[in-house]
Amino acid sequence: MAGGSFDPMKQFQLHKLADLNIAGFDLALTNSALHALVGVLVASALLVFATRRLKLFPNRWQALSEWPYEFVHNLAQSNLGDKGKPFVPFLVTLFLFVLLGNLIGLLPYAFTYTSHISVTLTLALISIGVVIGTGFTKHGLGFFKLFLPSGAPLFIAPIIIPIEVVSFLAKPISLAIRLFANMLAGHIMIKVFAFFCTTSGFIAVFPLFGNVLIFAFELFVAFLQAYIFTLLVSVYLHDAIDLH
Amino acid sequence: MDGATLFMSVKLIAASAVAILVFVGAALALGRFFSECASALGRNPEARPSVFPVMIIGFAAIEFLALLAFVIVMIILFVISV
Repeated sequence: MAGGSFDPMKQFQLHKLADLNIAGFDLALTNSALHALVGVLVASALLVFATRRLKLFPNRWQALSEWPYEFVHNLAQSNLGDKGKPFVPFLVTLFLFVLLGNLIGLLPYAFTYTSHISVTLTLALISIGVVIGTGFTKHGLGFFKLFLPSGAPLFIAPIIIPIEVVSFLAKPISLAIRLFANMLAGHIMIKVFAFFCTTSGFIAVFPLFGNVLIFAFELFVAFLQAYIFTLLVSVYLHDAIDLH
Repeated sequence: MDGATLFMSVKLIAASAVAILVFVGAALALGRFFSECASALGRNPEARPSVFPVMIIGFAAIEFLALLAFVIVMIILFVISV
């Protein structure tokens, strides 16, 4: 920090890399969009090229590309059972996009696109859209039974229906805020400890050690958040399919 | 003390108060929660596959409250101004 002021929020600033205006909408390529594109390309390249020549005994790349699919498949199997099969590709896409966003953000000079609520809220709204769509196609208007647990006596309906409606509406918000705030807090922590390293002279080894630990923890959190996001979406899907 | 300094100090006190209160709450919740999980696993180690998702969901719920407080602190510090 050569005399400059220290601002841990600077890493989250968006700036335009290329201008693009279509019909009055500002669709400029920002650093966030660039990193999201990199994430999508890495995921697609991994899945396309590693599964070119499929073998019964997978080589290393095929094993690497099978891991996320198997992981999410097992997760969907344990939460949704066989009814979850159609949703596995969607859940794998979510998992890989969130995971790669978190992991790419840990590289030096990289931007964490999952640290912006516009990205995470979009993901959460898409997931809740899928949940609502599934509920309505499976049960029609019976989907509204979701808001009154079966077996509940009718006289508590006036209390329990508003509670259930609010808790349903809070689901996308909690999904979005959890992911975005986790990434934001973790990256601010890393930058603050890095700042301590640069200013504390010869005892900088202690904040450096702390930073290594925090970085390891962030790596763990990157996986954990992707897992939690996918797990919660599959739990919500289970609610929509089986209606309590 | 002029108005801007007073506002700044109130802002800092409010932000740190929220942060510390939620720290205490999240610490109590996490300690209680994981001790229950540990004793459940200790009583019945074969239940690990069924306890684990519940553990993650409960952890996520506690974490969400703490992170909500983090967002509130960030809003107090960086968004609210005179």
